[in-house]
Amino acid sequence: MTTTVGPFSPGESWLYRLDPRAKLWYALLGICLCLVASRIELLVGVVVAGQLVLVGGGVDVRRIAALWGRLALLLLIIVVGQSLFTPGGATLVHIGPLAITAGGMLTGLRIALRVAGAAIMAATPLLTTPINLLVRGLEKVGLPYTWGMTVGLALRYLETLAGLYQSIGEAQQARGWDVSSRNLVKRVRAAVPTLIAIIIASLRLSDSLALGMAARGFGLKRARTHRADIAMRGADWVALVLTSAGFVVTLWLSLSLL
Amino acid sequence: MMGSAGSGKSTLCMAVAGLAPRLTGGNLTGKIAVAGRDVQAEPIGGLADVLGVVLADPTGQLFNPTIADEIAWGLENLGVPPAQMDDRIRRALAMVGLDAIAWDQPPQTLSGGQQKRLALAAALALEPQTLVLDQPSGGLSPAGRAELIRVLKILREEHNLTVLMTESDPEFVSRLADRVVVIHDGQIAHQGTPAEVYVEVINHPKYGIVVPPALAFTEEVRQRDRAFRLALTIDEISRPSKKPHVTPMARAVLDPPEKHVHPVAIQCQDVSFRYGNGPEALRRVSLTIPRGQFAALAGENGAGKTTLARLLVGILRPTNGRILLNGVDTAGTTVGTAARQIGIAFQNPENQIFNATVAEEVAFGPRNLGRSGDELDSSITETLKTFDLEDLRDVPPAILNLSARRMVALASVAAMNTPILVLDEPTVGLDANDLERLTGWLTTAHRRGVTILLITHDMELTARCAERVIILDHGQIVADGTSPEVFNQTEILRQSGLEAPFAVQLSQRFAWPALAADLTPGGAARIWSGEQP
Repeated sequence: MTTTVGPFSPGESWLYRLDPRAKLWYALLGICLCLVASRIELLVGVVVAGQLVLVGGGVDVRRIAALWGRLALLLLIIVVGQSLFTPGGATLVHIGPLAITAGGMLTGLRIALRVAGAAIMAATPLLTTPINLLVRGLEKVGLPYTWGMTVGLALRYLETLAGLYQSIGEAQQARGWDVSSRNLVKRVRAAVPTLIAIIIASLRLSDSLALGMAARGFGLKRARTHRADIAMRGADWVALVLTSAGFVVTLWLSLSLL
Repeated sequence: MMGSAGSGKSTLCMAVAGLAPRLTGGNLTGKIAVAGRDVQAEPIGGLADVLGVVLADPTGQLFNPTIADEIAWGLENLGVPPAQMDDRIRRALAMVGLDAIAWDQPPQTLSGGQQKRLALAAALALEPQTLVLDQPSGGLSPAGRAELIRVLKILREEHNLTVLMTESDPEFVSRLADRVVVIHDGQIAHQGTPAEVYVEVINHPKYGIVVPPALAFTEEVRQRDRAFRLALTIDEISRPSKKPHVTPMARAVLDPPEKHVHPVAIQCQDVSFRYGNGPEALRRVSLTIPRGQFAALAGENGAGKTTLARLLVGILRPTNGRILLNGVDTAGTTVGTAARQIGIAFQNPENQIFNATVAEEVAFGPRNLGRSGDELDSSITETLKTFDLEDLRDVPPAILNLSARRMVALASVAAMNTPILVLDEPTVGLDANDLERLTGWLTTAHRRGVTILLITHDMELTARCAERVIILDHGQIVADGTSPEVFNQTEILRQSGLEAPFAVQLSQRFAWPALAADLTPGGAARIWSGEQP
């Protein structure tokens, strides 16, 4: 099993080799497009394009599938919720006092595509850039190093905390808490102490992290140096231009098709 | 620095490093100087170029994507020119014996012992004059511990580093330290050479310091022969002038299992397991543990011990084979249901503490098993008493020190009163007093007929309590037998990163098998002195 640090896993393709700034720019414009575009066809286009970039960029298909797996429930809730509670257009089906309308379903689909598109765009730099280079990229575009480091550490420890959530749940079950119950109230009640334990563990981890980092000179008012620095190459500029052009064209299409 | 949990030794180390009280809270009076520099006058982290710190848990120190990035990170903070970095990384890795390791490997792929050494290398790359180490040997296998001792000795002898460490393993300390400072209730209670201090602490159990087995042995021999010289390590014990002929008593054995309704408590039939698409963590493990047996499961870090424990309680499901608890296949049962049969104390107490008070934490399991009213109250009171937690009854467990948190986690499992117990590394971070309480509870539970599977690197505890030892290596059982049988398989122990308990090593050193008859330093001392059991 490959051990990874944060969402990144190593790769050799062109996408992995791109400068973090080019990928951050791509993510930023992609997310903007998802927020601005309203036509379903365009949003589908953005999602498909984002997916093709990930696959074409050599990202492990299992990691892409895992991303979709994490999004699936949220997307389903959005589509079902909007279909049931947003009125508009013809009524398709009656479910007791509720009705699924065509307008509601379209709105749900639109929001779900926006969320999926934004998630794919945001995931692209995260899945393909080591955290330290991502932090360096953020620093180079003007973010203070400590801010970039904070973002990097949050990403680094996200999986640790997710693992902790699972471990605490397992510990509860091992002490007789049967979560196979279908009682929703019982399940929610089980989650509360778990969350408290995670908050406590996060505080303990952040204390330990603060001590460990300070002991190695973090936060000293000295000019930092960089063992592996980043530099924009020709390919990075090309990617930047193509991304910008793609953004302008899609934005124009979106506005002209309104 | 040695002393009971919560005595203040780690706080003192953090104050020396200039991190307490500024990052931890609290007030500091008096003055601390490191390399002639006033610690409080330096900015936070300002001592990084003269003093390196390695924390007890490397998780808080290893956060970079690769080994090279991890070591370079501190150098970058200090503004070291990039052209010098690779050379300093290379030297730091060589100093801790990791020179053969791939630089682009994520730190998380290393074993526990290697992670500690990497954290040490990250501190050493900054070329400090002083090192502060908080519990460096905690959680390491005997092989990992031996490697760390070797590295620290070289650092002392060849690089003339000053080392200040907190440590609870007395042998680790006696192999390295020139001086031991005993901290008790936030004050220096004793100081001197390890020999001077250990001799003193034998009579002061309140300090919570474990007596090294060699000292326990020589002290007991000295009670019969005042001329006998005290020793801290096996190397210091002089050859016996005579070997009195004594017929040792056989070790106590359990009631035969036929007495029980179902003779087998745990049965693993050809069990294999792999995480995702990774290599097999367990390979065709077949194991039968009779009801009422006290078995120890040992092996190097990553051998598959914790995986086996998680399979037994049903958190993981075997990719191949079957697991039966008291004759019932666990395949069809949930973890919650299996909890009526088997209780588990996990390696990390953080992962099993989630209630507002110690009493609620202890009550969580029994309440889920359907106990209530007076039955529940009396079982909580009894358990709190066993683990000396009565005074902490209404305290939030999360704010306790590691030793106390571990005792709460163990008490929470004990209160469930299950017929089978699995304890995963329960001794890490415990001081001598808590260790004694744990041993007392295990002995009582064993006498009551509870089946115990103890996962540990602590061979002295194993020798004292377990009647059977099972050794896992790379996911396979490589040794399984009575404790004396397995402890005498020197080569298998060595290959599995383990070492025999003191009494067995002593018997081998002086070719005197009777010394290892009951596997404890006290038993060896009695044989040595010619005392008939």
